Amino acid sequence: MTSHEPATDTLLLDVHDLRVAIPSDSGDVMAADGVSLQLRHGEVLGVVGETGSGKSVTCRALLGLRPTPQSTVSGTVAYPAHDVDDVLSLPPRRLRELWGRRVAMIPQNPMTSLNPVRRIGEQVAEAVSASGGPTGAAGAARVLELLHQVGLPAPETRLRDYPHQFSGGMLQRTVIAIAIAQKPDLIVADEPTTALDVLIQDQILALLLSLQRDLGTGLILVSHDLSVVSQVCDRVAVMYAGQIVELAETATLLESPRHPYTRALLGALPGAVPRDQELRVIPGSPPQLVGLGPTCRFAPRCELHEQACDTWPTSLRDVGPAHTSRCRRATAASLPSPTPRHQETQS
Amino acid sequence: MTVLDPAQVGRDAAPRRARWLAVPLPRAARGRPALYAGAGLLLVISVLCLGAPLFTSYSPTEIDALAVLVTPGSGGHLLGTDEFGRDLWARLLYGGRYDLAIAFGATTVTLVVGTAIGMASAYAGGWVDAVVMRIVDLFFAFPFIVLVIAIIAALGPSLRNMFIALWIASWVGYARIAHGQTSSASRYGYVIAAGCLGYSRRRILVRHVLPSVLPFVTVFAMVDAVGNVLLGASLGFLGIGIPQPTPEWGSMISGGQAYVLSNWQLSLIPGLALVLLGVAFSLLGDGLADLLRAKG
Amino acid sequence: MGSSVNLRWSRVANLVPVLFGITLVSFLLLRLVPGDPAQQILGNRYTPEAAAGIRRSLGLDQPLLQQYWLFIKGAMTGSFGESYQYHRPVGELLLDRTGASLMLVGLTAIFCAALSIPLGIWAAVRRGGLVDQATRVLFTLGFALPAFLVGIVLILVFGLKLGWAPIGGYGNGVLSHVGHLVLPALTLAIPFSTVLVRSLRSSTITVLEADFVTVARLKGIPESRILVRHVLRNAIGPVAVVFGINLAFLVGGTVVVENVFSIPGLGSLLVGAVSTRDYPVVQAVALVLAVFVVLVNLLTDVVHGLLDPRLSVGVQR
Repeated sequence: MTSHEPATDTLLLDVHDLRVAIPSDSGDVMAADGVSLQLRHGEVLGVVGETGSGKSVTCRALLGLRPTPQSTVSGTVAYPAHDVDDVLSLPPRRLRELWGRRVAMIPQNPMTSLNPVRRIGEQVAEAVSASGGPTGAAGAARVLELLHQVGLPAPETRLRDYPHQFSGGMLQRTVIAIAIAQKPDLIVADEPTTALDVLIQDQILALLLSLQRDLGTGLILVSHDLSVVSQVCDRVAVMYAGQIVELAETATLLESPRHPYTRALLGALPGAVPRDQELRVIPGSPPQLVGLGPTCRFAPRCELHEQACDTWPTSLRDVGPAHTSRCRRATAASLPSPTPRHQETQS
Repeated sequence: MTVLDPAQVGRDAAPRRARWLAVPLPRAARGRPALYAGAGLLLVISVLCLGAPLFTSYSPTEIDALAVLVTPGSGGHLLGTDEFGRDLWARLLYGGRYDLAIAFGATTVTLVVGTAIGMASAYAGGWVDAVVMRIVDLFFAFPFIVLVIAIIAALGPSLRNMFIALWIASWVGYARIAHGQTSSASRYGYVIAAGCLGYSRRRILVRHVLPSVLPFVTVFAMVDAVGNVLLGASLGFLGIGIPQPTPEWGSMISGGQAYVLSNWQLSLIPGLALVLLGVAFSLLGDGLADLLRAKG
Repeated sequence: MGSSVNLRWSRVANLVPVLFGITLVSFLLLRLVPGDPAQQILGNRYTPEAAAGIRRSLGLDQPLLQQYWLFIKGAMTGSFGESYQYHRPVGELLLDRTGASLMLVGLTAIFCAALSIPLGIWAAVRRGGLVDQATRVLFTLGFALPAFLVGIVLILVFGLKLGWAPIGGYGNGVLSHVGHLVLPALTLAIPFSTVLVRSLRSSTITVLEADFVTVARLKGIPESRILVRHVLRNAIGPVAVVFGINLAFLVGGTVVVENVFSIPGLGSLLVGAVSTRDYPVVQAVALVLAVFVVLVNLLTDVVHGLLDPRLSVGVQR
């Protein structure tokens, strides 16, 4: 673990060795394979990775959600501030309490996040009144307040609408209203803007962050887009093939990445490269998450790959202040540059 | 009672050229218990019924006033006798011949005719297709058994007319499936390519479209066979199918209903036989559908 | 919303050709009769005068188109000629017999709902559990289970051995009717429910995996309320469609079951008319049952539309 971990008294979330196995015909898919991380109160953590890197499943497991009833989840997910030692073994009643009052989630697709056959007003009211919140007139007032807060235009007139009468942006605002109804300590936002129009994306992200700041909520922002995450997060975890491969404060990660995968992601960002140079793509594709060993999972695509990488079991090592990486070749001082010869064989 | 939606049968299988039909069945069936169990069960029932004289020395229609309602196992009657002293085991074996005849006779004819009409209609397109498919829709509005009974009413109850009624009423299921598959297959590259090569329409239909239609209608035929067996038995039960004293499972069940408290076996044993025959076809259909899904 | 109303009306407009076609098929049924229908009806009571009378009453002495027109006109006003067996107007007979059949179908629908909704949801929530496995086996069996056999077993067990319910007939008064229809309705509902249970199970599983259920769970509301308020209403729509598709089989089943239990409904009227060659009755019953199926299907669509605000018409999922 890092020597600069956050002080325990302010810890909101403490995850240790989280593993999620989803049974499939070809064997157990390890969507999360030994994930450990911590989150302070009010902190914004970005989780970045390609589609299929397990970031979504991992973050849902933090809330005690399994991808399928058959999957097995192991490790511990503790909420020290709420006397929860492990959300994965919490009895249903206490889990419901945690869900209702302490944590919330914003799924990726707002079109499927609201019940299509119930009115918008009812669905927000349900979040307000759950866990002993206000009902009746007080509840209705709180519903309107929430909808105002998330910037839904003229909410009084939209309470009796059904989700299909809303645009994607309005739906996502409603989902956010449901998420903040009980002023939770943690919001997991699973690619909250991916399914939206580009113009709306920035609005929703800005809204989410301003609410996060106002309420002092911890936020885990899952994204496949490093540029989005780098703008708004305090720290960033980069995931590859079910593991965190690098974790650092945002500025550190951008300036001196200590994992070749992070560097490749940065190199693939438009604007990160001078105009006269080509955007670099990462050759190959991520591995299937079945039957992977302890050695580096990025090795087949890595420009720094050496023979020694194939036998070296990886683990997150300190490579700087509050900075960890799984790369064998990363040191506190630097990450080697690829040799020119190697680059030629790549092209 | 048959409950099904022809449009759903084999829905999961990808519509592509079916190679499985060319594969010898036993090899293809390896590791497919449903297919094996269904085929095995059907084989056992067929051997018992077709070879009935080998398994019983009694006649199914011979009345024995001295051995009325004999309990099973006594007096040399394996399953006992009915209210006329007829041997139940013999009636069961001989009667099954009619139910098997309905299963195969009614099903194969409609399979061929319905598939041909559906394919031809889809390939013809235009108003011909529209009219044919509206007619098919109309048939679906009528409860199947009501339509069959009404046709039998018009033609008069007899074995021959029962087959005619089944044929008239049940080709539409195949036509609908074949129509759907033909329409979608016609959009596939290899069919269009065959057209570009200048092959005749008939050749394209038979050589290129039929192989993608056949698996679907074959699976449906298994389901349809269950339906036909039950319908034939229902008609026998209602007394408008195969006329008495010919033994048939449905009419045997009906005949035994009056004695159900004292001699329940008279109704329930032919009933069980009927269920077994139905399960055999169901398993066969499931097995074939699995096979399709695996190959597709 | 305006367009959805229009679409629903267009469904109703679509009914017209279907109903027209149904009358055509029913009409043509009589033309299937080989030879002279009058002779078939009269049999050994045949005299030229009686035959002429029957031909006149069936309208056989008129040109075909004229006959069809008369048939449609009769059907619209509920007059289908006179029954040869009962010597009464067929319309009257239908009125007498429709109540029992409608009640049987209604009670069956209630039993279906009472059986399939809890079992279907249970099978979905406890996947691989006892209820799930049992309904899976019953589903395979239900396919091959003839209604009359189920009926006889129910008569034997609940009617004769236990004496809990009447084994046949229709009784007098509504309560007695319901009592007499319990076993017949169960006979129809049991095999039919096996299909509905499996269908509800699969749609429930789909809904349980939806994001909005996760969002609802994270509100901290109890699982039972999630099932009732969020899952059931979404899961039941596809089942309503399956119900509609299979309704014709259910109505067909009543024909058999009415005869098993000697219920004076349309089905027993139909079967009785076959052996007596009572052609007008056969025509009329076939017509009425087909129209019933079409109308209930429309009703299913409308209910489905009410359950799901996104749906204007039919299925779009």
